[in-house]
Amino acid sequence: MPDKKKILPAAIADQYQVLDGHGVGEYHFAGHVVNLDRLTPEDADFLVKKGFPYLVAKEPKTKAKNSTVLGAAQKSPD
Amino acid sequence: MSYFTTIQKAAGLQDAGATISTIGQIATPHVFATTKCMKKFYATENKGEHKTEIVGDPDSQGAKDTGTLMVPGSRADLNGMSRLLNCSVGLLFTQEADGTIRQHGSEAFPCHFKMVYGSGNNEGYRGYTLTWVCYGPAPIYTPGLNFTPAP
Repeated sequence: MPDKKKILPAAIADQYQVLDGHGVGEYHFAGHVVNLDRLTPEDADFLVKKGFPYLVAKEPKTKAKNSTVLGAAQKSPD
Repeated sequence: MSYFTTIQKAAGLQDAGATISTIGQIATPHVFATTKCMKKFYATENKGEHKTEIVGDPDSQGAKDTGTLMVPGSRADLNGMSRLLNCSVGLLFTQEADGTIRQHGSEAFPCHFKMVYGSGNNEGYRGYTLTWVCYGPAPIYTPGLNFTPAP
């Protein structure tokens, strides 16, 4: 039976994603053994602050750019 | 501990920097071909070392990196690794006591390996001796070690 594919914990998946071209698994960084599928938000913040390159902060979501314009000019009646 | 990868399996091999402050390190992670990554294996504490020496004539000097590791045991998989390494060139990564990682070999000048087995006697060491030689210094590899197959 094939191993189940590892994913980032839900607690950090909103804020971080794995560097392109790399997977969720084991890395050794600055003397730490890092298992991305078992990372806590605190660990993630600590590692990223230390320069861990395999976890990348996601772009924060912004409001939709196209919204209804209020007070549009009205055509005057003939 | 020491780690081995083959250059042919690397989809994106990174170089060291180009300024005085960055030339001694590689800061961008290597990208591996799909399903590939570094392979780790254990080496006995205090039985390995590596060094860089300067070789060549004045006005034409270069660096030569050599090292030795000892891997304990008498195992079929290590016999297999021995045969592979004796017929391959590649990169090897070593981790120092404070977590610093160095890369041995490069795309232009990969490591040439020799791995041999010795039984030792009852009071000696039974295991494999891995040695490597490559030209060029051993830059510090700051991204850390990657044991996760590329998707």
